[in-house]
Amino acid sequence: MNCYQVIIDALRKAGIAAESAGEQVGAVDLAGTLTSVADALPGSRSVQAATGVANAWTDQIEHWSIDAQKLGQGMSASADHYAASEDAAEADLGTAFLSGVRPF
Amino acid sequence: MASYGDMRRWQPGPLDGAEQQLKVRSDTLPWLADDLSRASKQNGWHGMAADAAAIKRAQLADGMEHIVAGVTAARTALMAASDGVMGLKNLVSDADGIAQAHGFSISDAGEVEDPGLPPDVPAEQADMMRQEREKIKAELLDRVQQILTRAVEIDNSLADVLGRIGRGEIHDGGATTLAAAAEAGAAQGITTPQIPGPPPNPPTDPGAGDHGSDPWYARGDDLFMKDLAGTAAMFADGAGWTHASAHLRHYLDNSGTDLTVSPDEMMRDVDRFRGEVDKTTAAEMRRVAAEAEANGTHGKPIQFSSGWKGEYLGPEDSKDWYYAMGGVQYSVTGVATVHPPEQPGGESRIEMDYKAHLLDRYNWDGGKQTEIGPVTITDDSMAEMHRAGVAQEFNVSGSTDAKHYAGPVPPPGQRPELPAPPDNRDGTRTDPGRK
Repeated sequence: MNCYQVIIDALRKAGIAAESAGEQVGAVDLAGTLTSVADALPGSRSVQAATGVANAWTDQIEHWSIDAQKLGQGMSASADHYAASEDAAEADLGTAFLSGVRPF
Repeated sequence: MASYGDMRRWQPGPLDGAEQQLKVRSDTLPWLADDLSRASKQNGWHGMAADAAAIKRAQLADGMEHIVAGVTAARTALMAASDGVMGLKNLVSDADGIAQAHGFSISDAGEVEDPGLPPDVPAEQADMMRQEREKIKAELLDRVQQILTRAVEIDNSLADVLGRIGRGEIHDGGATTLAAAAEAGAAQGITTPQIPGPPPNPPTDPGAGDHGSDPWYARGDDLFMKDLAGTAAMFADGAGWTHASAHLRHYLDNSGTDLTVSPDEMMRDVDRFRGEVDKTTAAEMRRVAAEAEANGTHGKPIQFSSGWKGEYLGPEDSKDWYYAMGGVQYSVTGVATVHPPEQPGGESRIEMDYKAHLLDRYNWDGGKQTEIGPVTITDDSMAEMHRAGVAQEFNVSGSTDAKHYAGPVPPPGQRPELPAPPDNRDGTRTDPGRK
């Protein structure tokens, strides 16, 4: 395995790890923690404000999660492109040798 | 706005629960964000794709710092609200207990209901007992008012922080690490309590009646009286009763607009009044200290309000203030932090910033008369001018400058060394408004 191959593999693994981190963050339910404000302070302004925060957190977590997953997917895609390029380059070189062209 | 009945149902437990749940759930965020950061930062990866990934990584890190700052701000605010509700429940319990002990009840709307005297009260004691019950009722109403005020403060503090998180106004303080962002968020979850304003105006006596309610053809005497009263105002000014003069002139100018007066000046001029205000302030210090002891809120700033207290300034106190105000309502509000005794059995210490407030309705509704210079002024003739529409009653109010006290909590009966009112009388002849 050459040095270039090592980077491609590491990038692919990192992409998977990044995607996984994004998925796990997406599963963190911050918004649900604030439902008990209504039980604690009935009739208060805070109940409505807590709903606003819950909605904001739901959006923020979802966007962060999606963006992180996209980053991971992009890294994996980059690794695939690099690997495909490497394969193509290797194939090109192989074709050149097989056609009898002599190196200098 | 939450009602007194809502306050009875307020509970700190769910707020603590929310804070704990938030802590547990958010604890995973920093290390997941670190995972992502580490993964997307690959040694040996260069070029345009690597640069684009670095930009996205930085955006994600910044986004997570804002989320974490918001979460810690919310946790801090939830804990503060929980502490506040714990103290509030004690106040509600005290008020309900006093009501029950005296046969009163407090409705969910905060009304104090008195079933009246028991049927077996001897007739000769009925008046005295009725007066006693009026006093208890007034105290209960005062307590209910304080509870509602405190509840609004607790609710506003939490709602304001939550509102800022919801609107994305909690910043990460320029943090470059999640720990620093969390710290910045926590600092924004505390709203520093301010000195509360005066309590809502209490009901005033009916005064002379409706302004301008007399028919126009009956106003001749009143216009003559108005001239006389103007002369009295001039004499009052000449005698150095400058507040009395200014208030009378304002009555005669018939605008009915509010007039501002400085309680600091009144406290400086009337030592007995200052003593009463200081006594009320000391009582509040003891109450707040007892509350901090009971609720374990030592070291945390607590807002307080004494509610309105009545005081009568007689001519022996100051002729100027007697003619200017007579009976007044005053209150003391502030923010106090109680520190526990350094040694068991020692004195608690208190640090507080506070103001005294004053309120009076300038009206003439008694049956008295007074001589100012050559002019005899009767309550009836002055009240008649208001009904005739040639003079008008008005509210007089004002607050002292903020004062600071740091020292021991005074034991009952002891007047603490509170700051003296400033001696900043700039005008001549003791007139603060003199031009």
